[in-house]
Amino acid sequence: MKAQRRRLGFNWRGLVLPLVFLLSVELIAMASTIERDAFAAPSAVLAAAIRTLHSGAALRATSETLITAGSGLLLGFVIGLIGGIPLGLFRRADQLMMVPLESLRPVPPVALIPLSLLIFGFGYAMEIAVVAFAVIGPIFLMTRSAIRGIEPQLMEVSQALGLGLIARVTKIVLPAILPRIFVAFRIALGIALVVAVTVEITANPLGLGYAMTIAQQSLQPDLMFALLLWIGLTGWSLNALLLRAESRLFGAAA
Amino acid sequence: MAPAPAAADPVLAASGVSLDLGDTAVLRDIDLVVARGEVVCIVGASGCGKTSLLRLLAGLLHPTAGAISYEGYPVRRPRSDIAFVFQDYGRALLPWRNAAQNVSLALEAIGVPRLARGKRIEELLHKVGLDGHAEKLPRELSGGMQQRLQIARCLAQEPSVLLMDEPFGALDAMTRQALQDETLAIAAASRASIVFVTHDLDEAIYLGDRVLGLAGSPGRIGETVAVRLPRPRDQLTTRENPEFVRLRRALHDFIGTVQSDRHAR
Repeated sequence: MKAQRRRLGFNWRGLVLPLVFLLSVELIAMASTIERDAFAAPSAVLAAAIRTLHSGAALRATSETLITAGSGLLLGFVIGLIGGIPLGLFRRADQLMMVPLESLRPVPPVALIPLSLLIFGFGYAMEIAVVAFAVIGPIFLMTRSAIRGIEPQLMEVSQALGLGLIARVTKIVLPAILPRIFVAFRIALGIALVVAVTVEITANPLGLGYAMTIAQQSLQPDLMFALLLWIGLTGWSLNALLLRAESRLFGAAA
Repeated sequence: MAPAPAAADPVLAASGVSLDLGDTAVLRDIDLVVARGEVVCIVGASGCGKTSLLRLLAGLLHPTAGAISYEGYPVRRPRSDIAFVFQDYGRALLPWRNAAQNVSLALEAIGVPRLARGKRIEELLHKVGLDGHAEKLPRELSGGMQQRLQIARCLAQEPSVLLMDEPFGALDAMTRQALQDETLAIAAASRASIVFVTHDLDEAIYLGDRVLGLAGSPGRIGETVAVRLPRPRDQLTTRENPEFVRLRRALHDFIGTVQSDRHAR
């Protein structure tokens, strides 16, 4: 009974250590008078966060990051899904694509930043391209293995009923892999955010990553930390949103 | 002696069919003719190729030698006039579709327009005794009901041949007998032929016009028994009929010799 209540309600005990940490950092900041570039008191960070959110700068940067990460995610997701389906369904397609795919996989997506810059220049397009590339690989593999995991009897049923390829994909394959594809999408969202912010920090003058770089270069550690927390909060909320949708849609199936 | 009904009006035939899967010889020189409306049961020890033979007849497998023909035309892939009832009903139904939608899948496959589906589905569910369960998901149905649902889905194709792979093997005795009688009634009403694979000799004799004993590895047709028991059959009187007992004896001896042969080797 007690254990059940604890599981349902929020566990406040988990907040103790972070609060102690913040408090001690604040005390250390008050005690020391030295200005440091990599250090800011929690109260200063909070003030900077309120300032940048109030001015609209952080929200503008957030929307830029989310638009690029989201577009890249959707692009990569659709390409990965459409490409992964034949790989999962047909052994021959899989054998054919094995070498090209496995040789592309070790390429770190961020290593494509220079190439993408050359092709697209600064702006949304280059960042979307890098994010999409980062997402395609995992979605490819997860789609393929989800299809391999379909109950073989179901494939035989669709054969026995005489379903054509398109009907087989839309009526059997896609509904069967939907829960696992949803998980794949959630994982890809995390990848997309990481890559988008990385591209912004290293090259692209857009979004939260760029705002953080500016804060760092103009010696505003409080703003930098505020943006860092904001990025974490954004990623966490999106993931929580999808997790909630997942358990509501698929329950224990996912 | 009446002639074997096979000569009357052949629907489905296997001639000289052999099947190898990889390096394993599964079936050798199978000749089989199924007449319209006939119930042919195939018995045999597990691993003798019963299910493979059924899959060949369905066009789900391709013979290494010989040919399968339906009304004189070669069977190269599954066709809607031949329906397949899988043994494992739990895995043959789409778990995300409710009963009505599962039946609908077969109608969608043969291109029945959406508007015409509803009434057909209702009739089919009624035919297998699942009225009032249309909205339920397969996991909310008992084993017997799930198998009924799969049969309804097969009937949606309006098949001339029903291929059934140990369809009642996992059900309890009462449900099994009820489904046996329903299957016979459905077959009689639709004039469909049935090829029924089972390892239960009583079931084979009770249902069949003919019982084929498959034996050996690779499997061959080792024994053909004509069942001349009157129809409609009845779970009590038919099973007490001396002819029933005699046939069971004969088939039992056949299976027995096959198995002792196998052990001797």
